[in-house]
Amino acid sequence: MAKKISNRGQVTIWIIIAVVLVASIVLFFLIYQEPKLIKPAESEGVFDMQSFLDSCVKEYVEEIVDIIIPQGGFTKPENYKIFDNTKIEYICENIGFYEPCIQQHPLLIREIKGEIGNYIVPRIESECLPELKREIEKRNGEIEFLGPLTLSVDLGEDRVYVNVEKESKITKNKETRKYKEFKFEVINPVYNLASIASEIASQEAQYCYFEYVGYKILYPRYTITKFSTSDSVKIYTIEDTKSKKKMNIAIRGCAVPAGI
Amino acid sequence: MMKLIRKNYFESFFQIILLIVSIFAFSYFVSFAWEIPVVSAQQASGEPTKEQQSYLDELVKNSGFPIADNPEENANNAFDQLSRTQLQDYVGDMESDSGVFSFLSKLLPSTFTPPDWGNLLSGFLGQNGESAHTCPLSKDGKICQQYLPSQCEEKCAEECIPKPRSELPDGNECKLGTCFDKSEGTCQPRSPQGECTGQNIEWFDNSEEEVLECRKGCCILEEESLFMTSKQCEIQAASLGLEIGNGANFNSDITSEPDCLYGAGYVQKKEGACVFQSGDSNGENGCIFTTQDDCIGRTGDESKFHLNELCSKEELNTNCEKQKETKCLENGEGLYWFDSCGNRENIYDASRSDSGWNEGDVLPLGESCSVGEGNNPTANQGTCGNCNRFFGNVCGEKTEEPIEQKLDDDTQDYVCLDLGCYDPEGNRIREHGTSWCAYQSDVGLPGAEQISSNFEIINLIPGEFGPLSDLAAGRATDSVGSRHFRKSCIDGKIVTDPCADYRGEICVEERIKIPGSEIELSSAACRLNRWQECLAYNPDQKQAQLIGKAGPMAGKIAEFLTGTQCWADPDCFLKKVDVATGSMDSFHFSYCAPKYPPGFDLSTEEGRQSAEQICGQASNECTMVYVTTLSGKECKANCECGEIEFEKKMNDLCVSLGDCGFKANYAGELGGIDIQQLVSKEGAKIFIDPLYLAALFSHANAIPGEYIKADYGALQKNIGGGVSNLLNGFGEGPLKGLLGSGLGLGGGGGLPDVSLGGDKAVKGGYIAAGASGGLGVAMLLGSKIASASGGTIAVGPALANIPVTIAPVEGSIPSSIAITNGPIEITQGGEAVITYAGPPGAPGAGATQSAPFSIGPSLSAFSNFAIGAAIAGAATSFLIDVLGIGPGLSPGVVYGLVGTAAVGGGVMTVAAGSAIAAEGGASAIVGSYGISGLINVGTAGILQSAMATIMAGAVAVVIILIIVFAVAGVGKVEEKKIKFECKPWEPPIISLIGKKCEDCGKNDVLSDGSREFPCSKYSCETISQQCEFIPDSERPEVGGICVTVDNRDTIGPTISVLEDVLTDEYEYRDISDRGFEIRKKDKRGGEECINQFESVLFGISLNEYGRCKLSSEENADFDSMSDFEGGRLAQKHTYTFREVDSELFVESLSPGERSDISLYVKCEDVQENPSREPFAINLCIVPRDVSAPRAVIVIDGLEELLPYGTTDYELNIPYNEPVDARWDNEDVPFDEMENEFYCAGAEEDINGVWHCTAHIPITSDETDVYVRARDHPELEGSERENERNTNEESAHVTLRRSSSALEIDSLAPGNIVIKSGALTPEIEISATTSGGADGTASCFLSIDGGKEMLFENSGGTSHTQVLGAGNSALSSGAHVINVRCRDEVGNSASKSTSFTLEIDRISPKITRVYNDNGKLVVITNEPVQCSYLNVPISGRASACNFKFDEGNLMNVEGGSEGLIHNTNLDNSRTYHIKCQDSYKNEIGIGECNIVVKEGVI
Repeated sequence: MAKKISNRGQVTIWIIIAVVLVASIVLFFLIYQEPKLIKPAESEGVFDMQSFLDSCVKEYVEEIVDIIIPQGGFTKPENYKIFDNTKIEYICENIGFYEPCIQQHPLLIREIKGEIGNYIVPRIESECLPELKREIEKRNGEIEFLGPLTLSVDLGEDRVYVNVEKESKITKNKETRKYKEFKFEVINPVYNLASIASEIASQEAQYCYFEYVGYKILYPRYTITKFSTSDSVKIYTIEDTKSKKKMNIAIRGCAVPAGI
Repeated sequence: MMKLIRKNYFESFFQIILLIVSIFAFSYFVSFAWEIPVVSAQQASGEPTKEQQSYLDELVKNSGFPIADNPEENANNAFDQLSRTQLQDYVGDMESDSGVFSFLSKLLPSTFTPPDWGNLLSGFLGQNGESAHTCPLSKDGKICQQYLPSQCEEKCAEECIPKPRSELPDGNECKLGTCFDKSEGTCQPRSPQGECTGQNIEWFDNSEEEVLECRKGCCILEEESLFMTSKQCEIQAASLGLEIGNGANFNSDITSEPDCLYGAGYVQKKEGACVFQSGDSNGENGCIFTTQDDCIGRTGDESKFHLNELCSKEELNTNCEKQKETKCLENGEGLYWFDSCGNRENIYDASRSDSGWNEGDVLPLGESCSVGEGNNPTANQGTCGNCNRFFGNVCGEKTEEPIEQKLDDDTQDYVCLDLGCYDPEGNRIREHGTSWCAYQSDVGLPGAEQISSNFEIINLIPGEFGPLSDLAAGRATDSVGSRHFRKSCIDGKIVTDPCADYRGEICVEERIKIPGSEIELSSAACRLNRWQECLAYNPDQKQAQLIGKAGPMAGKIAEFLTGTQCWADPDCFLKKVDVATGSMDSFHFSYCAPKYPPGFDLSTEEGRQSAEQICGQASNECTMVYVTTLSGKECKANCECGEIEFEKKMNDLCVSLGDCGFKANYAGELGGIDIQQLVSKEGAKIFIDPLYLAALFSHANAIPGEYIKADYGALQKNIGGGVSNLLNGFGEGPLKGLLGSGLGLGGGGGLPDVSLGGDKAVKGGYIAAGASGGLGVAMLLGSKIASASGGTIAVGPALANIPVTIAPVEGSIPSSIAITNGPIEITQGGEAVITYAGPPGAPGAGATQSAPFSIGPSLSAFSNFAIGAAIAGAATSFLIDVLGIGPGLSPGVVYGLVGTAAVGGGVMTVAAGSAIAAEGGASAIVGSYGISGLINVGTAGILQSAMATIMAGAVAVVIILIIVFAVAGVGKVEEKKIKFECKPWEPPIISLIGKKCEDCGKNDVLSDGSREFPCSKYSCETISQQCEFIPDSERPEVGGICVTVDNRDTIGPTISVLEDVLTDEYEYRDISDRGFEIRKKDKRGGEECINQFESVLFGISLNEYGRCKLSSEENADFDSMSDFEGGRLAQKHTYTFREVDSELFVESLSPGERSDISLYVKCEDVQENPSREPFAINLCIVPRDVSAPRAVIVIDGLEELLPYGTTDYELNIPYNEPVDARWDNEDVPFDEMENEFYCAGAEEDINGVWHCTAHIPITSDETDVYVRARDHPELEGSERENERNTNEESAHVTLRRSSSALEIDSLAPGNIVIKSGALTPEIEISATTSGGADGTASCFLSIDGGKEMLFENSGGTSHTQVLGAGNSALSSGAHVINVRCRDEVGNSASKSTSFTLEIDRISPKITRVYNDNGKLVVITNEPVQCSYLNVPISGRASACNFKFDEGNLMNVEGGSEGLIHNTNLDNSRTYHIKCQDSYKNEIGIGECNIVVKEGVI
């Protein structure tokens, strides 16, 4: 009898355990919120073209800016003054006497954009894209350039924005991705320097004078120096003390002859 | 009866006629006796001629001060005109047909065709609008420039537009206007229309200030303010995701750039602590000090931002500790504390107990300490970090020089540095940002400042220029060769900007005193010197003629206008020359002259021509008039022209016109001009006035602190007031009325000659004016020659006759004397010239009317007397005039003669009348008229007869006296002309005070106390005629060098020895002014001469710059001689002589014998003047070798290191001649040495040396070798064996062998896999070496068997090379690097390594993402870190537009090896997630790996 009681108790215990277990399971499912599966993010493609081209474009932007800013903003100055073995474009000039200068490049910033664009377009086509192609092929991928390359350059404070439109298709492991345009942002003060150059030309055209000392006080980031040559040409050098980049411009106006 | 009546009628008629005539005669006498002017009736129409009227209109309207009927309007017009003039100081109204170009047009007559003036003329003509054509594009790329028509084809790439630029029609491509770029928002004034085309570009035919779109204002953005156009503001705002009115604001009321940036527009950033959970175990928060937007962008929780609280504030419970260090902000704006997290805190402020921590709250700058105090802008430098550029300090590293600047707390490295400028002695001399003028000499007028300050008082005196002129009676003082400089103190450095040379620009300055401080701030600028304007204010020749015709009032008005314009112009002054002391003298005039006279470039023909033209305007001639009187010859007019005052005043004008006349240059030396030539005939008297000379010399010295005020506003105000006062009552009508009167009364003429004393023609003022003008610019010249008689006035046809000549009251009828036209005759005392003041016929009419009613017996008697007196007096006067004795007689004598004759004539006439009356039974009684009672003609016939007889005798005496005077020459007029010639100043031939050309730019004290300035061509070449400027192309900032040459010097340079240049072992001997010898000092080898293997460097010096040549022939022609140093122009010349060169100078040398040769040096100076005689340099050469052989390299003491294991060493010694050489391990004589070198034969190698080689056995680590040689091996065994020279001493060479081999101890990387995310990863190859000579070596590497290259860092024991760029770029895959090292001795070692490079350029991917109990979990395909943003960063359009580092880092689950990342998930937010692998690969900017929005993708 005692043995029976004992068995019954044992069964009870098992039942209790079972109930607790079931209750726990139920409770678990009641309390536990199963992680909501989220659809995995779409693949980023087989190759990060943007990152790859970024360094290539940046390199050429830096290169062309370093070429043009000592020369007044132009790759090949046409109307220039040679100073310290550098051809410096006249931004504002009057060959006569007394009269203020006449703007030779009233749309200087636009022209600089053009200079940058003209320089980097062929280099992207001949250097960056072939390099990209080689890199992708090295990774057993394929790239196909579908359309023409169009490029636009914009300038802003401390920035050069390059927008490259080049339709292309990359295939790797049966996965294909298409690209249409790439946007690059290069940190460079060319806009700042060109803006100051325009301001100098503007002041010179109106007042035959630019108060560069005062400018330095208002804008301590920039150092402007002026050198007047014997033929009444003023060479302004604008230095961005932050990046150490220097832009030169030549201006001739309000020239004063000796005597009459 | 009828007969009687008829007779009476006849008598009455006769008397009436006599009465009329006598009235005329008496009126003349009366006016003559009382000096009442009588004017000519000629052309007294009262209306000007058409030509005159035209000129008057021009004068009134174009004089610069439009005169209207309304005086108030006059004042306004005048003020406007002044304002315009002043405001255009910087620019000048250059394109208008006024100002300088008007002046030039006056200066250049229409018939004047100058030589090829090139650009100068094109500039002039271009501006003047006369001949210039506009070229749209020149061949050298210039846009819209002007050329002469003749230049167009040569210079213009297109067809020239046959109009000057200023006259181009609308729509022309070269028409200038303002170019507005809508896409940039920028404007450019003076832009050619053709260059301003395209999309979003607009061209305005207005100046920039007139274009609304170009007006700048303050663009206030969230965190900064910018001064720009509204369009620019719009663009700028858009780039930050803002719009005007929504986050950005454009305030057009703020029109000042400083006000926008630092004043009313200043934007104080709203910053504070941005607290976030750091995950630190200690529970502290992380924190960054940033703006609210940025904080929200980072945390997505606005509550995390604590405005104006520092991260170190205790309540924030961050892990940032306060005040860890001090640093400067970018651009040096403030010295701040930074906390341990690197966050900026408050300004360093040691005056506060917590150094400015402020209990963790932001302390506004205004409440912080102040660096400056009182007079000291850096008074609290040691305790305060509130640096401010505007107050002259900036944060920077502490300094020691020129003064010590640091914080009191020595542990800090930064301080608010004083930006002021210091002199070398450490004295603070200028404030930062200030600019000031520095002059090389006195400038402007003497006491110009005093004149300016007195303007207000002076201008209260209407209508008179006397006080003004008197104050400026001096001269313009700028010295020849001087220049104006503008200096600036910027960041502690003084920058010098020269104004345009030749004083084409002047430096002007404003000073402002800081209230409550002793500090004075100054601002200076170089601006155009408008000296031409001054000259242009003066009437030109044509105008002068017209003014002369118009009469004295026209002259007065012309002077008024000229003076007003002249004084209103801050660059001009009215120079008044008046040497006359009596009111009747004529030599005085006023002339508008430059206050800052220009310099001239006399080195060119054009420059000299223009100088002569300008200076010539002050050339003038004064005619002194002498008259023979009863007491002898007396000067009657312009007597002072022979005095020193004349010269001084004329010279004052002359020196004021430019570099003209008698004055000193800036060095204090008189020019080369001969003062004796300046004043002809009389010679110069200036020299005898030491005070005057001292004044002239004193102008050479700059006056400390002197400056030219730029305070135009105040000047305008003063002058404007003065003008309005002066113009009061001068409406156009009255003015013309005055002029009309003058013209009407003036009468005709217009010829320049003045007749003096009837037939004595004298060139009057016209001539003086014409001569003075030289180019047609006439003086305002009063020219009136007075007769001492008082009754005869010789009036020159004065050009713009100055009113003071006669000074008629304005509005009154001018007297005849004031009539300045025509061939005015000098009327002598008693002359009966019929002139009339009133309209013709008026007086006559009166007389006619009176006649019928006044004729009676008594009147008849009086009439008879009067008629007789009049006739006699007139006849006498006529006689005096005809005989020309009037000028020599005093008025009393003239009156006596005429009076006597008149009374006599009267009495005789009465007597005659009485006789007629008696015959008719009539009695004539002089009744109640005048002389009644004196004579009773009818009753005293006998008495009458007696008186008549006496009077006839008196008349006869008068006539006799007159004849006697005439015979004696009384009244004879003689002239004496004093001519002053103003010529261009010329530099002194030589500097008498010892100023050297080479000193140009040095040691001349400028007005600011500095001594250095850039030497220019002008400043150089005015020191003396010996100076020539050579531009320094290498250092253009210093100008150039000024060298001494003498254009008139016919003496060539003097040559002397240059003692400090000579090859060491030689010396100069027998130095004289004719040459020197060169010999060896110590007779090495027993000889003092140069042998065939030696060379010697020597030098000569010249006393001036020159070129030198040399030859062995004393009398060689200079051109055929050999160049000395390539013919360089210099004062010091050197030459290296080699024996082989002797062939150039000596035909043959005797072998084995000493030869003395002389090299003759000749030099020429810049003018090609040869040196007086050849300078002989004696050298001796010994073709026979008497020297012992010598190794051409130093081998004695040489220690040669040899590689490890070397057993044999080849020792190679180059000798200077063929030798036999031997060696030994012991130092023994040549003959005892056991080992021989193998030496080359007679032929030297390409380097001209003879090599000897020996193989030295190396048996130990150190081997001693002793070497000796003997020359002339060809003589071995011959009779001349004893001539061979042998080394007396051995050369000792030590050969050291390395004790161990060179080893490459390590080479990395080795046999590993290198992973990189870079396209061209940088991999450093490193190696270490040991052993060999000393362990150091040069190591080379090759990549995959490629070309070897030297390690970038090598040469020691450690060698590194970073691969990854250019040729060293590595691609993915296995690579083998071979390294080879070699030390200096020759030990070498090699080693190789290999590694595999795996380049990972692929950005990581998220493979899974899910919500795990409120946690956002992402799983990536590679070990990475992920970050996210909830909202875009301020200023960016997209929340994916961030870099990994800018996002909030997600937690990396432990044990997931960087594959699983999580963060708390807030379903109300969007999570923009980016991941970055260890190679920094991440998805591009603007893209996210995944975006989870509200818990869903």
